[in-house]
Amino acid sequence: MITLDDVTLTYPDGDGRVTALDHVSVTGRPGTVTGITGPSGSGKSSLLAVAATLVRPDAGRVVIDGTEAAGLSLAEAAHLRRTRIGIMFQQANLLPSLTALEQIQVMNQLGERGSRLRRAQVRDRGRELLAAVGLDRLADRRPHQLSGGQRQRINLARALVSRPAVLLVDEPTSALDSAAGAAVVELILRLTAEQGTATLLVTHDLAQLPRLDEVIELVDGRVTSAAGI
Amino acid sequence: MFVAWRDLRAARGRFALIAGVVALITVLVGFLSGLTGGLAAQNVSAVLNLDATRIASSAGAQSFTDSSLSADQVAQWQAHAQADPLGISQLRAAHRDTTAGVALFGAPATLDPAVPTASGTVSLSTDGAAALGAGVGDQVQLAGRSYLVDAVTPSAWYSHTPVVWLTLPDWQQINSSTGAGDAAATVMVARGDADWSAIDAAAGTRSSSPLMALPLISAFKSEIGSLGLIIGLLFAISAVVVGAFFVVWGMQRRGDVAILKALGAANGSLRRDSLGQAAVVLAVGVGLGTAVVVAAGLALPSAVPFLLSPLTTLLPAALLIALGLIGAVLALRPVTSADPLTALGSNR
Repeated sequence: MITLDDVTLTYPDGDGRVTALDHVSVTGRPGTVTGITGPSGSGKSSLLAVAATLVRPDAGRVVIDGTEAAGLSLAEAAHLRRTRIGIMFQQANLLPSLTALEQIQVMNQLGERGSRLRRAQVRDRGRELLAAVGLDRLADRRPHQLSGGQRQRINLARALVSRPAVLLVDEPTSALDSAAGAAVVELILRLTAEQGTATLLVTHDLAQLPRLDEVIELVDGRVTSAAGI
Repeated sequence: MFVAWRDLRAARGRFALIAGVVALITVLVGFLSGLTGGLAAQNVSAVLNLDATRIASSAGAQSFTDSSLSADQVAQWQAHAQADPLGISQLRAAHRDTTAGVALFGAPATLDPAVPTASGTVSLSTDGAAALGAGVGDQVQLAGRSYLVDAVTPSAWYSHTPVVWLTLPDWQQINSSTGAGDAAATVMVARGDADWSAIDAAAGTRSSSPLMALPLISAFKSEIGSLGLIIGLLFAISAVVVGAFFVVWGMQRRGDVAILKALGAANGSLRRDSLGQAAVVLAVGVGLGTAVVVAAGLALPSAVPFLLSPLTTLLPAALLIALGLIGAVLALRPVTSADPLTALGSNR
């Protein structure tokens, strides 16, 4: 579960500051997908950055799987992202030197040595996730050998490797055609339900909204509507 | 090292280029070190190979050439320490039609097994024998007199001339006949332990360890100083070049590092990855370069003054790796300062 409670975030802008999030409250529940939508500059990416512990809000609380995240140090926030948060980027952001399977295995190498799983366990988990996103036969392919949709599926598999409590998804369909985009959203919905993650999905794609459990609209950093669908 | 190994595998050409440049620098440093060592050996090996704790010269002498010890000074030393007088001079020796510059080392037989026991005889170091084309039983001319070659002894050099060993009285006679004075010896060579300061004070000498006495050999200081400066500059250049490589590589990786940080990578694991990658590239480059230096050193003709030893191969290699790693540490900033926020949105 993820809760953003009365979160305010401002950025420096010349001599003053611009408000990116203005007393925003959002809750993502396990096994559900909450859509965040709104026009460009409405604060969607800022909300995602706060939820991902990449930016510390000026005010408000961020609670991720029971951990108060707003006051964590950089190292503690990195640990939280590594263990409890999965991030699916807008661009697939795969590392060019790694194969599809290694993109998932690399997650086990990001922490300190004592915290790592055994190699066989990680390989098995990687293959399980590749199978879950339908790419188990492409495990040895590098990013440049994959289509955009396939890269996004690996992006999703990588986000789920640590069995996160929270999945943050940033515009997953923006670089895909409508069919591939729909397939990726379908996959997100299915895996969210199967794995019980609390998923926040930022999207411009209005066609996907009816399929989500809840949709929150942001305008100028404020929640203008919230609706269960 | 998970990402580092895979980067190395995926960008073989790029890393081969970096390792190649490191190898070339290593070859350059290795060759200069070997030549410096070889030249130094041709300058000082006879002195360094002496069985000595201290070497004493005249108190005011700026070099061994200036040093001249009297019989009284020799006696003072021998009264208080286990010491032998050693006469050193340089002249041209002749054998039949061949002449060559040689260093005369005149000493009692107790100083070194190479010193002949009989007056009128000499021992030629192997390089002296080769230069004069002489062997055991031949006669060589020194300052107009004939001396019988009694033995050919191991290689020994002094100030770039091969050593000819002879008895101390014969050396004194030659020294006197060439107008160089009536010195009893040039230096004293002492072994064991004694109150060296007290002996120096009593005898009017200045003594030091053999290593510290080397600058008293003519041209040693300037020659080794110049080459050492070049080697030092090469080390500095190599550190800058290797550091620059890793800075550029680190900047190119910033995007990937930002993703890893956004995914939760600890800074420690990113540092280990980068430094491990640098260490692998350095080890391959330096290893390759050192192998070339060793192979070339073994293949070079003996006339080339090239010293192949751990001091001229392993030490420069270790220094290059250490300096390269320092450069890589300084180049870590692009890695540690990568902003994970740039991984979000369509920034990439």
